[in-house]
Amino acid sequence: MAKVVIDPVYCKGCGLCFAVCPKGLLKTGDKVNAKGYAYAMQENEEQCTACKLCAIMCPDAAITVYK
Amino acid sequence: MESVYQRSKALSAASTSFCPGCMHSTAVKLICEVSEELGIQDDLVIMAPIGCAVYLGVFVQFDSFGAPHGRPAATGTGFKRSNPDVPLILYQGDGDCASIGIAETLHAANRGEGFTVIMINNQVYGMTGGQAAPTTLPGQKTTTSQYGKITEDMGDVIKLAEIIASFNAPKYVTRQSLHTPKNILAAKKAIKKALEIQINEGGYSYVELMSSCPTNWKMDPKDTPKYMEEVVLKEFPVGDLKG
Amino acid sequence: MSEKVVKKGNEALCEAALRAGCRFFAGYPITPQTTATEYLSWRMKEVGGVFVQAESELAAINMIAGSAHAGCRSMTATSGPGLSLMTETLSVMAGTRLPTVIVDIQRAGAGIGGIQGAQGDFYMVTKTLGHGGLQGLVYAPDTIQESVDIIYEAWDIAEKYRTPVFIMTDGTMGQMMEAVEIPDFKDAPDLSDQPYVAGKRKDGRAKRLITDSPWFGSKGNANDNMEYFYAEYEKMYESWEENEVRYEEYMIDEAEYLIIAWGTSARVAKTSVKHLRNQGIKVGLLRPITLAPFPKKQIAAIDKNKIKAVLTVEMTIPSQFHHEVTRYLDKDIKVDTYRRGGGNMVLDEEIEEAVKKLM
Repeated sequence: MAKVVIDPVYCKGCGLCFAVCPKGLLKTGDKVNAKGYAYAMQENEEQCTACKLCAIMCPDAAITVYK
Repeated sequence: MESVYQRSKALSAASTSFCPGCMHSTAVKLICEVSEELGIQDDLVIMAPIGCAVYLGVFVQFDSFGAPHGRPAATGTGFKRSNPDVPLILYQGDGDCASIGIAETLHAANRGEGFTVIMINNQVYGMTGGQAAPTTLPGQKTTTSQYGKITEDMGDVIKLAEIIASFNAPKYVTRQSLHTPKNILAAKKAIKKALEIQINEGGYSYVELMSSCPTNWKMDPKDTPKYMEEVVLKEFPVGDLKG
Repeated sequence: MSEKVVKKGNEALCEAALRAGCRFFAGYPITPQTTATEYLSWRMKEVGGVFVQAESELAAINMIAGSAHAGCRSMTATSGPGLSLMTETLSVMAGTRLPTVIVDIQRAGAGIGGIQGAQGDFYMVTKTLGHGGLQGLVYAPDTIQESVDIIYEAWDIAEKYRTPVFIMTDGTMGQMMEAVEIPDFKDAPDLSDQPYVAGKRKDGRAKRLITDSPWFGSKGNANDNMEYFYAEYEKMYESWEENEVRYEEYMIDEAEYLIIAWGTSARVAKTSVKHLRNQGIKVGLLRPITLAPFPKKQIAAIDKNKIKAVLTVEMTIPSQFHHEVTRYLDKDIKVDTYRRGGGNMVLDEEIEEAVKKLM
């Protein structure tokens, strides 16, 4: 079991994490944060391998990876 | 479940003011992570530049001070010579470091001042709205090179890392990039090495980080890694140049 | 122990700086400052401090700012063209409220000008430090001894107010030799707890976010904070006019005529005062020692019922100091000026003639 948690306080919705996820689990979410950014969300959490590539790529340190 | 990657404690609770997808944020994140790994998060002092990172001190938990545009290498010289035990990072942009401050940058490097320069190379003046910089690529459109940069008019690309690597004094000179996870890990390793040299043996280190400016490149952040890989890094190859 | 020596003005000033606890000097050679830089290039190392020959005055002034951020007593010395290069960082220092000492060994004219002593930096240094309208304290000695005494306490004052402190001499005073008593070494204070000093955060203290502009505070946005703090700075400048004004009154007993002059001009004028007094002419000298704060009240208090006329003396054309004096002087008092420009010295006999013309 692994998953990522994206902190809406820090995510700016840039999408840099989307392409680096080997499983393509990240996408723009349907919610907007206080700054007006549509922040990222993870879908199909069960497929996450906690490879950390999204968190490494994320400029804003918005992603916590759990394993 | 336990966390295997989390936000560095050396980062402030405040979100950065950098634009979405701007790799300035990546660089700041890496510096904070490295400070924790080296156990110097309470010791490190960072100099904030003029430019997009002028509020750098807000985003990190280190002591910070500034300098006029282009002068960090001189100000850093005074600080480090007066307090050699404090690890010091000069966080600078390409305009700060390679244009208005090139004299201070080169002289400090040539003297082998004992600090680490982290130079963010995004090929434009970001904060003032995307004007041409000495790092702007030939043909690149900016707000002051609207038909594309003509090198006969504005000069060719200044490759600061290569110039600094030609001096005897610098201990470590490298250019890394922030456009893929692999490159980010290499950049982090380079920052760590630079700080280890500064702390353990003393001396000058220079880490140039190829970065993006999606706002002024007028590009979707998601498209910037491909552009960097295919265009920017052809002009600015990554790798260690010295040390 | 203090010691009595015969020393060049620039060297005596530098030696006194070391004894005041200055342990960082950065400078770029420029006539007539070079003897200061040369002296400290070896002498600073002897006392365990840091000397850096900077690549430019731009770099030099920023180096001393960096040293101040490390909690070290730092200084630079320069002359007009170098001072022009330094102005951006003088502005930054005034904004950061950074205690440093800058010695301006003035030379003649604008641009390259000439290398002889002059007093043409008066407006530039006293009106505002670089852009933005902030100020520093400015001292103008007229003897080497006084320059030694002033620099010996310059950092104490700079740290008290958290402000850059200027000492203005000129090429004449810098190069001349004079018997001078150099005070003993004193320790610089530990400044590591000062808000403008960065360093290791011991005992978990909060980080220090040091900027040249007071953006952060309780007044709302950056503009509002800056407006508030600048108004506070203004109150400090006004307090200097109450507490920090220094001036010398020379042979003013029963004076009917008054010379007002500063620095080397005042030094020469003292000779004229003695000559004129010997001739039975009742003349005295008022000499501002602080140019900022300027002795406005003292000049405004000059009594038209006692003083028949005032002569200002300065070594620069167009007039600067003269206009500053007449701003505050009673308009009913007759006033004239005697000046020399281009690096020419004011002469005692010409001052005396100018006084006699007022009679």
